[in-house]
Parts: sequence; C-alpha cells; structure tokens
Amino acid sequence: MISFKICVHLVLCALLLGTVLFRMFRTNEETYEAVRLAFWLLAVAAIVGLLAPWAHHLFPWAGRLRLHWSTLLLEAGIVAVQFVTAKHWQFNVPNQFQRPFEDSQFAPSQYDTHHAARANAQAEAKWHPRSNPHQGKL
Amino acid sequence: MIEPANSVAVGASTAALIYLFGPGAPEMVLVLLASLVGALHPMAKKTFATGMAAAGFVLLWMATAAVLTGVAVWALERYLGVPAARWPGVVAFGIAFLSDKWPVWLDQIIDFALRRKTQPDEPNGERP
Repeated sequence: MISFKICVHLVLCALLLGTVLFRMFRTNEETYEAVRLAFWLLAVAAIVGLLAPWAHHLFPWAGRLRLHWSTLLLEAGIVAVQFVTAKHWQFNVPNQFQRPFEDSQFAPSQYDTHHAARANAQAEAKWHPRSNPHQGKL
Repeated sequence: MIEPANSVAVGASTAALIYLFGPGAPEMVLVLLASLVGALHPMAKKTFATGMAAAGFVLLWMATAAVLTGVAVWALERYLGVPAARWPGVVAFGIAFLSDKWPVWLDQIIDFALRRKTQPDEPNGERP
C-alpha cells in the first residue's frame, strides 16, 4: 500500500517534472548550456523520484523507498520556486539565461570586417543628428 | 561569459552511472529510461512550435534508440555471443543524447560520399 508520504512525494515529483518540461520546451540553442543542463538534471531527478517507490522491483540494489519529512519539504520548496518563477518563462526564456547576440552562433565573426563596416554605417546613419534630424524631437 | 558546464562531460558521466548501476533491471525498462533521459537534453536545445512537437521528438528518439539497441543486442548475442549485460542502456542513452547531431552527421557523410563519387580529384590532388 502506498503511504501518505509517498503520495505527496509522487504529486510533488509530477509537478516538478511538469514545470521543468515546460521550461525545457522554451529553452533553445541560444540558452546557456549550464542552464539547459541544470534543467535536464532536475528533469532526471523528477523522473527518478517518480519511479523511486517501485525502484526496488527494477533495481534490487536500490532497496525500499523510505521518505523523510525533510525530503518532502525540500521537494515542496523546489516546486514552489518553479511556480513562483514561472511567470518569467511565460512567453520566452528570460534574457539573463540567453547568450548575448555577440556570443551567439548567428552573430557575425569578429573578422567579418565588411559586416562591421556596414553595421557602423547603419548605426551612424541612425544616430547621427545630421542624418536623422528628427532625433531628440517629440 | 565562460560556461562552466559541458554537455559532453555530463553525458559521459551519466553514461558511466547507467553502466555502473543499470544491470539488474529488466533490459527494456533500462533502455527506455536511458533513452528518455538522453532525449530530454536535445529537446531542450531545439526549438519547437508546440508542446506536442516536443513530445513527438522525444518519443520518436526513444523509439529509435530502443529499436536500434534491440537490433544490436539481438545481432551481437546471436552471431557473436556477446551477452547484453551492461551496455544496452549506455548505447540507448548515447543514441538519444546525440539525437540532434545524428541528422547533421548523416548529411555530412552522405555529402562526402556523393562528392567523392561524382567529383574526381583534380590532377594536382586538390578537391574543388
């Protein structure tokens, strides 16, 4: 029979897996690798946690799951953090987790002098008061 | 910004953990678990239009890893007598973990093979 503690543990692990998969769906190649790996590790932990009550059937060395309240508290804390921070992931990955454009694979190489010259010319045309007389006026 | 994490190191250590702690479990369960864990990493790397597309990607690569590993297990046991003791989980994990790279590598191999076939070497040994 599944005890109350194991039920709480399963619910928390399922919530954790759901919130992590939601974030992993949002991340992309431009997200810092460390961030992606951290979420991947969290997803693996949630999957292992979901299987833990039956792990002794699959892996004899694992032994029966014995949950402590502190474990549940820790899981509840992680899930709370996930839910509280979910609003920052509503539309996209938070900017702090994304590589800046200069480091991006889509950014031109520093040796691409033609692009640099063109970008400088465009920036100058945009911000130079002579070429943009409306700048600074309402 | 220097990134301290390295997916190769993390993948290699996970494969080592599967190799160490995997045996004892039913083979198919281990293969499916390892491929699920492996396929989640490239899923986080790719951009998907919908959640269903992401789930489809993971399921597709889990199935691919399971089928390829199953064929390898069967062939090696049948023809070479190699028992499927520890390695199937690691192989399934490796196939799924690198699932975003296989198509690129296959394209490169096919391109290389076709170019080699259709364009003979230049007289001075250079390739166009």
